[in-house]
Amino acid sequence: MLIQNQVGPITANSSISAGTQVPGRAGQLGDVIVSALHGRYYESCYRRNVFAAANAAGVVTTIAFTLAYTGLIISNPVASMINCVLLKVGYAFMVLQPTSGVIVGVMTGYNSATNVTHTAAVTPKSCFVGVGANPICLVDSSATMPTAPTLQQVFGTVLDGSALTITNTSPLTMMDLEGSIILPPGGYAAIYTTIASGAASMMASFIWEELPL
Amino acid sequence: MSIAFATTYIGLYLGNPVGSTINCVLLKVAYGFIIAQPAAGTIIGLMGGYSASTNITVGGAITPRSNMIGIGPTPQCIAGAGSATLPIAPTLFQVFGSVLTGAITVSNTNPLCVVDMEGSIILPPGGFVALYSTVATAASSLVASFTWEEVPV
Repeated sequence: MLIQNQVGPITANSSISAGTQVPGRAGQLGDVIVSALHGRYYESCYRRNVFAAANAAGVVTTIAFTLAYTGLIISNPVASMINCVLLKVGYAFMVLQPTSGVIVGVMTGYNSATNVTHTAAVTPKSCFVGVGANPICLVDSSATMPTAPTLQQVFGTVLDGSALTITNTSPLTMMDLEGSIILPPGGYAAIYTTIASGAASMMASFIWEELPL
Repeated sequence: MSIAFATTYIGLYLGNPVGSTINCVLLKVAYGFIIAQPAAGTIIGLMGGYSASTNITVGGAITPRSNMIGIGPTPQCIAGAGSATLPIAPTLFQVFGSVLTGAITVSNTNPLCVVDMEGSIILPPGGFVALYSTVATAASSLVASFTWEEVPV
């Protein structure tokens, strides 16, 4: 089937009444012009596929790839029927860090047979607030990974300036992963720090989408 | 801004009233502080909750407005910044960053504190969100905003 669109505006200088049938619009190179009617994740969220979880209080992160982990970790159970698509990750620290140049990122791992051992669960929730279903994925502030993870993406570096009083700025520490990491059944992702963070200092969050395999 | 998940809340909140005919789709959240904060490392984020039967008791109502400046309709959602009572204790959805306590004369940088929610959180009728802070912020220091879309249920 050959689909033809019209180059340029459908009308010269007015809006088109609702319900009017019109041709699709194309650019000067034949490119199809579309617009994102709603927020990027509206349709997925409306379909009750988007979820969130966050630390309820500060935690101490473990060093790098330690299997017995504290921080914030999301895991897709081995027998689940969904892929976990990471959309956004946020993190912040409440106290001065013990070492200068703590690199923060997200690390990932996979084991097709053994689940993450859940030590301290964090309750995830639907982003269709109050009316959405519970997610399949599990989130913990403390867990044991079955296989050592590897660093997937670096977010930045936390310094240990002479005090937390140097500035009162609040740089945004929330990453748009935009679906660039998918956790299949058996996959997991966790906040990474090169060293253990300061006492009870880190809070983090994940927003993700769950889609059929 | 009040501490964490207290149902007696001061800050900026947005609620979709019970009985409304729309879903509230969050597009952007922004925040800033105009005086130094009292506690180092105050973590800022977004919390939310839901009650099918009870609305937020609004304090310090803010008049929401259309982004079709001047000629758009009045939204159904409600917003406020004064002392409000949330119908249930909210939970944290997303961490945005942390605020330090230095004098506001130290730096003239202006890190961007606008979060693109991109429709990733929807408030059905009865849902609400509010800015979250781990500790009470300095008095009269928070200035924040929500941008949202209202879509038929």
